[in-house]
Amino acid sequence: MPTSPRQDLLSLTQLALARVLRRETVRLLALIAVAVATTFLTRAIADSVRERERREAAEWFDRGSKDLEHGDADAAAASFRRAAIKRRGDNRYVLALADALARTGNLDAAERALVAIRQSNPEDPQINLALARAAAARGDLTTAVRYYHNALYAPWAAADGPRGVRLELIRLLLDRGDARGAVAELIAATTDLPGTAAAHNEIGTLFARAADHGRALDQFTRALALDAQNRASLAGAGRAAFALGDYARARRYLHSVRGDDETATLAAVADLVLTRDPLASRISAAERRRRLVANLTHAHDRLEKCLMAQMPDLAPLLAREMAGLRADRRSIARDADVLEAAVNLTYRIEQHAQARCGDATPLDRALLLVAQRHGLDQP
Amino acid sequence: MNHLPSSRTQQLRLRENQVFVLLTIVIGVLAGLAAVLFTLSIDLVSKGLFGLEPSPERRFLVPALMSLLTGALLAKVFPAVRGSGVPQTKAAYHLSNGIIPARVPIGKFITGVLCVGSGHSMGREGPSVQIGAGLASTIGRWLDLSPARVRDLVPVGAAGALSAAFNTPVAAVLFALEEIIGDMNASLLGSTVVASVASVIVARSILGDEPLFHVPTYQLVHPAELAAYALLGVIGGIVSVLFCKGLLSLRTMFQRMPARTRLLQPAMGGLAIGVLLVAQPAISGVGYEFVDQALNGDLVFGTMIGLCLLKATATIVSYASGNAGGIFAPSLYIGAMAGGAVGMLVQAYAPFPTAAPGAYALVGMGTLFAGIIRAPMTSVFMIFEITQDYHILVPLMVANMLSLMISKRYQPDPVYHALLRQDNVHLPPRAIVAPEPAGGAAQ
Repeated sequence: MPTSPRQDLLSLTQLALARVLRRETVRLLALIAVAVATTFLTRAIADSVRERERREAAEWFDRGSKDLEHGDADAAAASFRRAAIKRRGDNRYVLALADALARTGNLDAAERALVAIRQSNPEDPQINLALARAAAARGDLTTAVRYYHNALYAPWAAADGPRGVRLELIRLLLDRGDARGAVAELIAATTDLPGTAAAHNEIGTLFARAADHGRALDQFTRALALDAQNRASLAGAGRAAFALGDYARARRYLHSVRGDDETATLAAVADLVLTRDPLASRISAAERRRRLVANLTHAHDRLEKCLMAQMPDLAPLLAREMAGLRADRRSIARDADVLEAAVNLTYRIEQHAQARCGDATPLDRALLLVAQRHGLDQP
Repeated sequence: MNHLPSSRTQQLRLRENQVFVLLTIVIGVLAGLAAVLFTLSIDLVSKGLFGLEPSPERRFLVPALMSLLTGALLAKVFPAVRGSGVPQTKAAYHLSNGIIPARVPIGKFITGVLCVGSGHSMGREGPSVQIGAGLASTIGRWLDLSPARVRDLVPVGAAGALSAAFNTPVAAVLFALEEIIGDMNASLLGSTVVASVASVIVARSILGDEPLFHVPTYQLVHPAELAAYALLGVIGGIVSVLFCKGLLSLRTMFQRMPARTRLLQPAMGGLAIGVLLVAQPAISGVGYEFVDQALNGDLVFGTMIGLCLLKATATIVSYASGNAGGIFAPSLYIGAMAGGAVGMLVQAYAPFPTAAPGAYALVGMGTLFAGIIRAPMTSVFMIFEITQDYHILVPLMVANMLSLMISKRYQPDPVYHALLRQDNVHLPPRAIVAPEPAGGAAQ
């Protein structure tokens, strides 16, 4: 059937268009366009899902926190675990999970959770600190110290972060009886102390716990330089000086502090050491004898009273022996050469009395310290 | 027949090859996007149906009610998308010249999302494979490629999808060769690699580089541990056989039921799953978070044994009743639990130092995968890509070898082939790789 030129042109155009459309290139480009569009769509959906997961993780975290407040560590651990799974990149959730697991007594699981996140965050101070606490809880001091050091030298957001960690480490070492390790850490701690009396007092107290009374006294002295009336500094300095045997200094500090039974007792003992020491310098011979006789008398009387009370059947025998001793006492006091021996005798009597009678008075303590002061505390 | 001049033929062939290369990249990207969308959709549906903390009533009702819907879809609209998708993809490749109707990936996407998202104990990797393969086949036919090329695109799409679904590009390639093509020396190695890489690049750009599981570094602690891992291999083989036989038996039972019940069979499975979820919610869906816990040693012995048994039961019920979903993820789950339980026993009673139970859970995952799926090379590389560490590979190979031997001895038909045979689909012999013991090259 004959066609018009217009119809011919139309069918030719359609043919060409179909040919174009069929060409693989066009279809491939269409596919690529679909792929690009789908990528953006998928990314948008993924972002939406991620945001939802973030909210769910926060919700589980809140639930876990409430469970912890109510004391239900098991439920808290389950909630924190779900939060951690929902939002793996957020270490807060794993740290909370580890804390909850530790509270349930599941220290191994707590540590495993922390070790897992530490693999990707080896320098995170909070993770290292949590691992240190976990190791300490299960009694592994070596590992705990290692993690504490990792935490100490990790980058902290807060400037005083490492200080708190070091103090925690020091307390742990002291609790576990490692005074030497504690002193090493305390010395390090003194290098960046804030310039407050409280900070020096804190370090001084810890030095004293570690039995390093010299450094303790130094810290308390620094505290007093900042605040001369600080009660804690005065008490601490007094105790440190007392422990060092510097009773004059101890008395000076301790008498400035009022109202504390312990410091009052220490002050009294320090007084007595100074006033009852027969070997003190710059006292007359008469005063020396007077002190010695008084000390021996006190020690004898205490022992006599104690023995009589404990062994009443032997009272007559004890009375004779003690009378003999009393006579010897006076002669000892007259003989200057045996002064030290007398001080030692006083020490030994007091020791026996303390062993059998207990409840030493300040004077009894002072008499023992007098002997120790002069190296006359041999048994 | 169209006798074109030979130079023209060569030109056309060259052009087709060029298109094919470009197409593998595009298909890799699209298959990867499809797999990512599939995963995200399952998550969205699951959250929408179950919420943050579902009540027992909800856990019971959701699978049952949703299965009524999916049952209707599977019976009336998408009959070809029941089950995993992997055996169907194999059948399409070997028997249908790679022709997968466009309705199949669409139907698989919809029903897979609904089934797995509503709590059925099934995996998403198998459906991803069929979706990716179906997309590739559809695109190939739309571009008027030759039948051979269309067929070649099927494993390419499968590899791309699995690479994104699992975040394991190498294992995805091996799976495509080992399981879909059945020939480790296939000429399609290059294409599947390109698609797998393109897919995983896109997937990671969207989902991030987060690994599927967060696994501590495990390694062989003492040479005598190899005996323990061998024991795990034996146990894994036995569990694999029991799982396969249970699945095939129950599926046979369902298939023997009257044809009029076919629409309701998925719902029957959904009802059973609902009961199981009330008892143990941890067996719902894919369950990777619990696998993660087992890999990190955070589950106790009783829990792992219980989850192993319940998960196997739930997966058998879900799959046999005709729901749409895979058995990859359940294999890993069951393997992790079984391995972890064995690990705890070994740690408690072995007279030599042992690795943590998590190491055994990791090997158990691979062992069950090798025993059930019968893809030992894929299993080894999958574990390597998940852990980024080769230290556990020797124990894994030992366990895989034993699991495979026991599985082949007592379940000669690989599960995918057996499932196809139940549907009267018989793959040609060339579709079956003769799996070497793990560590040797497959032919």
